[in-house]
Amino acid sequence: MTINDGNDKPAVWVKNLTRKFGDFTAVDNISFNVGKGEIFGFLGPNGAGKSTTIRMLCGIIEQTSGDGYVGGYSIRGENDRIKKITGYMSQKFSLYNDLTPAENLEFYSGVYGMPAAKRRERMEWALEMSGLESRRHDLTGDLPQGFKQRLALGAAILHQPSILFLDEPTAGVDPLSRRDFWELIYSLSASGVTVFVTTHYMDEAEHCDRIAFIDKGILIKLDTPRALKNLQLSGRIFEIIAAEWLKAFNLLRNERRGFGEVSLFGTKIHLNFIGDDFSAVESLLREKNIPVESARHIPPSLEDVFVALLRPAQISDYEG
Amino acid sequence: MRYLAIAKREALSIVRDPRSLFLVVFLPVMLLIVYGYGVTFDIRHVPVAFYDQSRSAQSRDLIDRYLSSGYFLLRESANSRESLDRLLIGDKIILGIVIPPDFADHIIAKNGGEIQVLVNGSDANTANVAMGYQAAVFADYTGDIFKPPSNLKIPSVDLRIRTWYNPELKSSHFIVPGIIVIIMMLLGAILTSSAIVREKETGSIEQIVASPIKPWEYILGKMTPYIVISLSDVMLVVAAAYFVFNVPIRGNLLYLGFFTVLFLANALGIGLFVSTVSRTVSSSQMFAVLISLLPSILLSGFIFPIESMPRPIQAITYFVPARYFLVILRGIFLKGVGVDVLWPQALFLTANAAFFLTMAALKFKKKLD
Repeated sequence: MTINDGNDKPAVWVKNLTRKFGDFTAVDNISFNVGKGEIFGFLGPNGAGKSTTIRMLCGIIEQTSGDGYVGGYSIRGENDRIKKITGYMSQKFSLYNDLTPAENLEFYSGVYGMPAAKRRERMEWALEMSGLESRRHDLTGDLPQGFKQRLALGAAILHQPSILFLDEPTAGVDPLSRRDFWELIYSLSASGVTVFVTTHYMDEAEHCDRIAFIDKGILIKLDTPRALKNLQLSGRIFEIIAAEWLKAFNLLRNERRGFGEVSLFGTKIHLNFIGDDFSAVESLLREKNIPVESARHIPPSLEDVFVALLRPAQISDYEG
Repeated sequence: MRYLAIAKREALSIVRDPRSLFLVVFLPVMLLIVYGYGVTFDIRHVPVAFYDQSRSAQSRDLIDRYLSSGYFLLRESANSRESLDRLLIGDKIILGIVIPPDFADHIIAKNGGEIQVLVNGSDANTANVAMGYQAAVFADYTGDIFKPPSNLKIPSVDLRIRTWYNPELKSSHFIVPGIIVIIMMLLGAILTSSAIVREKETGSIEQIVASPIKPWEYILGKMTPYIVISLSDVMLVVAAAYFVFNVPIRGNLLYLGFFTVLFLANALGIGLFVSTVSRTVSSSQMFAVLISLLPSILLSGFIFPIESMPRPIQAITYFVPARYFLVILRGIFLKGVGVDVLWPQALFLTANAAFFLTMAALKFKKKLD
């Protein structure tokens, strides 16, 4: 399937898109472009407006205002054309649990009006891709989560869409399967498919060509992972490892001198240190009898950047 | 064939749940048998009490005529007006008959005489029917007592009544079709009422809405398997009517099938419409019961004649599919008529089916909120 537009045109083009639910603004006046064949990551906390944006672009819900083009077609009135060239995988698993994987795929091939000749071949491909060839006659509801997600992805790309919307596709999937998932996303992208993916896994976000940070419906930052990590943070990131990590974390967070923003990465503490002399931190911990196993200056990860971006006000306060 | 994909999927889901399927297929027959026996407009064994002040051969003859008619059942004997009153107040009897002390004298003298009948009017319908029975028995009695001598010829109009279609006026012959209409309306609406809203609850509607399927493909696809199920229900129910209740089927069964499909499209269309506007399965089922059951009983002409309703209510009955199917079933069962007579009903059913299904397709406008 090809889109009837020139190569210069973006696959997705969004201008001032807004969606309100009553008084609540889920998506607030966002604008961005997604290039053809790009893997475009939508990153943000729960309720940030990621799903709402995707659902507007797929024509599932109506936008309150603003405009968007998907594959050259407007989301205002050309939804039917958009739906033919897009694939969508919703955040909540929404294949039929009382059908077998084969039946689910057959259903989607029918709903997308695929020609009969192509159906069988694509269904076999999707079953193989999701590793369900031997379980094709089991009930979908009985499958482990990872298989379900792969089946859902298979169903979403069965009709070979040119633009693919994946809403948290790897939620509840084990790390190994997640890697397989991303291998597949890479290969789709390499074959020219545009992939628009939301996630809250930072390591996944690094696989994207570009990342859009979104919070409270507002697009905060849009750039490549490399550029984002090179963003000039207000301080230096220190990773502190301590056996009594929770105690240390609370201590640093409540410290009035204001060393900088602290956040937890598992049991490791990241401190976005805005002072000059890090030994002040170490002596504070020593004073409070919290032994430190290691404390070192590290390059900022994407999550550090994300944390810093989410609290811009505080950062400028410290800077003063 | 996107329509077929929807229909096949729905059918698979139905088959995967054999217990519900079994219930859906056999419930209507069970309901028909229960209600067919239970519901009757025939009133028999009207409880009655006599306060016989005459205590004569004549009064006993009259009482015997009442009791042997088969319509009345002697509940208790009263030996005072007060005890008769108590029986009426306590709803023990429908009729209280007082035979005065001079009854026998008047009969022997052939100069008239009177009895008093007290009717418990708290159930006006039964009272009315009981009065009718009573009057017939009494007319019969006086006719025999005061028979003119056989040599005397009195000119009179010869009244010959013939009841067509249901010569014995068996109420089961028109109640059973009515019950079939109500059961199928209710079942049809309930069957489809959860079909779409269930997808909203499980979230599978998201993928449907994101696909290029058209609303009418979705609605018709959803309806198709239920047409098959409810059509087989109707076959079972009609067989039960014929074999269990001995309701005659004088018309053509093919016509019956044709009209039934039209009617079912209405019932299922109403259910689908309810399903598109509801947010939860439980609310949609409640709504479906309300919208299908009450109008089918009250506004279909089953119990209350449409002709005697006020005009605005009559206007509403045009949207009650049961109204048309009732005429169709009685027409085919009892009269043996076909499309030549029933085409207006077929026309109205078609228009209503189109209306309900279009409403459902319009409400399912492929955007969620």
